[in-house]
Amino acid sequence: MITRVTEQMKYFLMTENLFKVQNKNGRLMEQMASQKRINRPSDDPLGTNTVMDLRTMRASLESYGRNIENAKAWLSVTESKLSSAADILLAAKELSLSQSSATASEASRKSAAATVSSTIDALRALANSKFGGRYLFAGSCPDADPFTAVPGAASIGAAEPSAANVFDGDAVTSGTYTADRNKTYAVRIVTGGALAAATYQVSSDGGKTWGAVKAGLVGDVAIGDGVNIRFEETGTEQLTSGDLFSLQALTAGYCRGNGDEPAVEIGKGNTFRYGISGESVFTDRDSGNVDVFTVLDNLKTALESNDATGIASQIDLLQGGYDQIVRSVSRCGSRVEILETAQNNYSALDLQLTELMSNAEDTDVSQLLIEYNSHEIALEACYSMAAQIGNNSIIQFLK
Amino acid sequence: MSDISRVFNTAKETLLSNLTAINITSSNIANVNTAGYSRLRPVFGSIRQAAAGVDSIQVGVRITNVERIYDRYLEEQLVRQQEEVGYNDIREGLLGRVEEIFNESSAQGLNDLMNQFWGAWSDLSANPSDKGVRDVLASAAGSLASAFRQYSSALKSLQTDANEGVADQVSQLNSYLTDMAVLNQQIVQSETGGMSADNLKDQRAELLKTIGALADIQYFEGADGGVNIFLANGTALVQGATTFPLMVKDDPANGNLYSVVAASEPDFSLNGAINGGKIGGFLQIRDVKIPEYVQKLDAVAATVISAVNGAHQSGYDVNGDPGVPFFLPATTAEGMTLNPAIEADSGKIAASATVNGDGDQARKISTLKDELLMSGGRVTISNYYSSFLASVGQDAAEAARAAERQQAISAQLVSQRESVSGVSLDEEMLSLIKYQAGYNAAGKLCGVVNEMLDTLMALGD
Repeated sequence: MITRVTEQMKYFLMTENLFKVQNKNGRLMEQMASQKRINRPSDDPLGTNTVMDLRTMRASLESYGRNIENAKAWLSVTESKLSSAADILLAAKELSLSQSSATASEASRKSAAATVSSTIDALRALANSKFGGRYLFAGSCPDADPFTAVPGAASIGAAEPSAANVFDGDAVTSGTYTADRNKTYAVRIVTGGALAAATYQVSSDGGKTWGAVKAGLVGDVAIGDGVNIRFEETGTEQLTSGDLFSLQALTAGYCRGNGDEPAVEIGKGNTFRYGISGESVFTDRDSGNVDVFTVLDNLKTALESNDATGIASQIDLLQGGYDQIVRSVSRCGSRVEILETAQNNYSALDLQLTELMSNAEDTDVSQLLIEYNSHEIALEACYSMAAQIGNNSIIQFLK
Repeated sequence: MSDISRVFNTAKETLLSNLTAINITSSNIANVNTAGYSRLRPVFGSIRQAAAGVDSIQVGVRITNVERIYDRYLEEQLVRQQEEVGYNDIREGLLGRVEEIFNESSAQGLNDLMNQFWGAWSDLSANPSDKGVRDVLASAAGSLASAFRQYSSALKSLQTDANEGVADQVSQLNSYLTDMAVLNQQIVQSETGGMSADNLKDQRAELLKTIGALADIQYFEGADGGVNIFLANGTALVQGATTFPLMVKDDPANGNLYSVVAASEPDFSLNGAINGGKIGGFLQIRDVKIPEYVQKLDAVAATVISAVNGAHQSGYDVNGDPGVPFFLPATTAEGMTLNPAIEADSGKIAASATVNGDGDQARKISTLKDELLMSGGRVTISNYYSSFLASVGQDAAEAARAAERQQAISAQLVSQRESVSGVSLDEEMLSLIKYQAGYNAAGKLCGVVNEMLDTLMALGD
């Protein structure tokens, strides 16, 4: 208990208290101006942690949301293209039904053949359609139309060296492709050196997964499915670790794309394949499917040659093609449904997150105002005391 | 036998004593606002001038002593408290600046930039061939890397500031030590000459507090009245009239930051002996806190760099070429740079898992944000960073609380000291009235004695 109060004490305590109240007032004003309880990490370290985790969660949700929107747009375009394709096949089937009957004449079949020819063009245009600059049905092959006008034979493309390769000799491909799907092969050099000494790995899925390390690259090297590659040291540099060569191997038919379906993350650890592969829609590479372009081409030929049985034999196949496309349409539908469920969950979650963030970092304005008012009273009291401080002295009474 | 002249004499003594007392009161009033002034109080003592006996009683007065009202224990506490205040003020200031570097509340912070970075990867996975999306990712990555570099350099410049702070405070300390030696000398001289050294002692008490605010010192008053000052490990700073100045020296073992050394022994670092005061505060932040923050920031940067590079290099760019390192290889936040090849050509971003050009690798990289890559596979990068930030906030909050607490204690002690040693004008006015009354009464006594003498003289007429 301090009994002796001296002049310096009075002024010292007064300024100390004034500063304290003003400091608290400053804090309150900052909170009111920013509408935030946490203006720097030290205001509430734990709260800061929570707010940041929530913000990160929210950023993830936003990015999942964008992915879902993208995928939905992609699927809705896919769905409309596929519906049109299904309609085209249905029309072709009806055409073949009417032209297979005895009432059809050679002339009507000739004109029907012309119709089928334009049908084929329309269908190919649908199968080659793009969304946002990307082919809808090409799988992961971005460069050329996935469906050609005439069927190609099985082929093995040239070996493309990577731009970063050190090896400057030739890589020559040869062989007869035997697999029933289009594939992208890649050969990666593991240890460099002369052809006989170098070791390599082969990937048949475009470089995603790699096989065992093998040695010896002299002459034609079989890398699978009848594909051979031969390295010729025509340049000055030997094969070097990391050198990469890729080649496209195509099976016979109209389709140049592959069966990859593009995917995005629509949730933590939730990879969603939103693309429908053109291979599964239009070709017979999935079991039980028909190759719709071949069927239409056969129909056209049968019509042109006035072959009633040939025409009739396409009816079931056209029906099969139609069913196959409609199945893909319903796959689109069910995928959109999954996306919409996720989207609804996220908007509910986003609302909760907003509320949690607000609880953690936003300030309660009404409470703040009450607090501010009470501090203002304290500040006023301090000021009026400060104004009085010199007046209360015995000197006032010594006359 | 009573004696009129003795009464006269007593009156004179009373006049003089009260005048001295009023003089002392006036110096107290004069110093009402002098920091560290200890008030003085006259001690009146009676003097018996004659042998015992009813007739011969004659008691005079004299000011036997001028007392300096002073509580040595309180002064020592004040010096200790200044160490705490100095130490915590520096910590509060510097840690406050650290947290401003990392502040996510107002401007865009590192956490937001990281979220944007992962988001851009996710967007790229949905549009792997879109050049615009690639450019957005490249710019998000550039911003992220530059934020890491900026944070790191801001921490380093804070460390440099703290280092300069050490040097400044050491030179300040040296000048105070010189003052202290001079004061010691003057005090010893005054006291051996039999003169009062009260005001010099007040000055010395204030100087001790000032020195205490710079470093944690030990001190004691020697037999001759001089104060000797040491560091905690016994290194002498002042002994009587002699100073042993400190200096700073580059320490190659500690990134060429300064070591505090004694000028007489420049190879022996005293950093470990200074754990309080402003110098202690600067050293603690410079050598413990900032390196800790830099190390954590580096850990985040290194994890982002190695995880993204690892995934990026097993992917393929738009031309089907294998991915280059996305960031230039580095293990520090300072060295985090987007690969210039990617900055120049966003087509070099390896978004594809195959040579064909899908978006699967971008998708994989975007999921790195959810992988438990830090603290030995226990937390995600973002969790690690946010708890790091919370710890920065915790440190700053703790330092601010400590500073506030120490200031409150200090204010309490200053009040106590003022209560004991400070000047109260009310009290001085009352003293003045008291001494004036004594003086007036003595004057009256003179008049009475004078009249008595007149009466005595008249007896002869």
